[in-house]
Amino acid sequence: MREIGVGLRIKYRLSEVPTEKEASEWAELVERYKSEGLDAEEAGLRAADTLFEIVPNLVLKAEADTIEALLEQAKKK
Amino acid sequence: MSGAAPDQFAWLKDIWLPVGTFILGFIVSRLTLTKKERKEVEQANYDNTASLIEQHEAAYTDYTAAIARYLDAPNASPENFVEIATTGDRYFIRLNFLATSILSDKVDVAAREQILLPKIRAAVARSLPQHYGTLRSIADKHGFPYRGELRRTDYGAIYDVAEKYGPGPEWEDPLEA
Repeated sequence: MREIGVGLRIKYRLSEVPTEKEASEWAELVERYKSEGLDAEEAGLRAADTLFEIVPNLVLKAEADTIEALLEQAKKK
Repeated sequence: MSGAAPDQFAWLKDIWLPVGTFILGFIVSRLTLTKKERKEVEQANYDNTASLIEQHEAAYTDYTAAIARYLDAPNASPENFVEIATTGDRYFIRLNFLATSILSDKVDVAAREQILLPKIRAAVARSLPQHYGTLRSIADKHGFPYRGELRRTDYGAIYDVAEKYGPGPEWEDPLEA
């Protein structure tokens, strides 16, 4: 099974992979929005938007991911 | 002055019909490819795409290897830095060339959708700005003289393709890509 954080990142195009703790915060918030009357999809998106940074044009691709990771490390060096 | 101009251009009257017929015939033949010709064009586009991808991948390998060498080096040397700058530049120039082939319809349509456009969109959204951002930040940190900046004019075709074909599917699953 894919890790929930990675799944969230892909589904909502998040700038970062949420930690497990952040993911459960997200799940709690989803439940709250649902109890307020939103449907599941809408609640999920609203919760992600509240807690995380959404990058609408994020494209997850192997090549760009590799370059991104390497450049990120190089920046820190 | 009077009468000179008509005489001078009288020959045009004699040739416009054959020339016009020739041009019209050429245009019509261009608009109506036979099935065989269409197959040939498709095959040529496919071969062209395969060779573009191969060259692009070589540039990609060189680029990532250069960054990896910089990361492995005990001290960040100017040589390492220059290597990242030049291989990265070559990688994006390759991608720009690939984009020109897309603009002139010289690539396989399926490969364009599945392989080439995602690369170009990812470059515009992520790797191009990151490349320049990283170079700038390394240069600042280690005192290397560097004035490079991301200019659209350097990679015009990449941006033209990204605009022409739009942002792509709503989200893309890396595990399916």
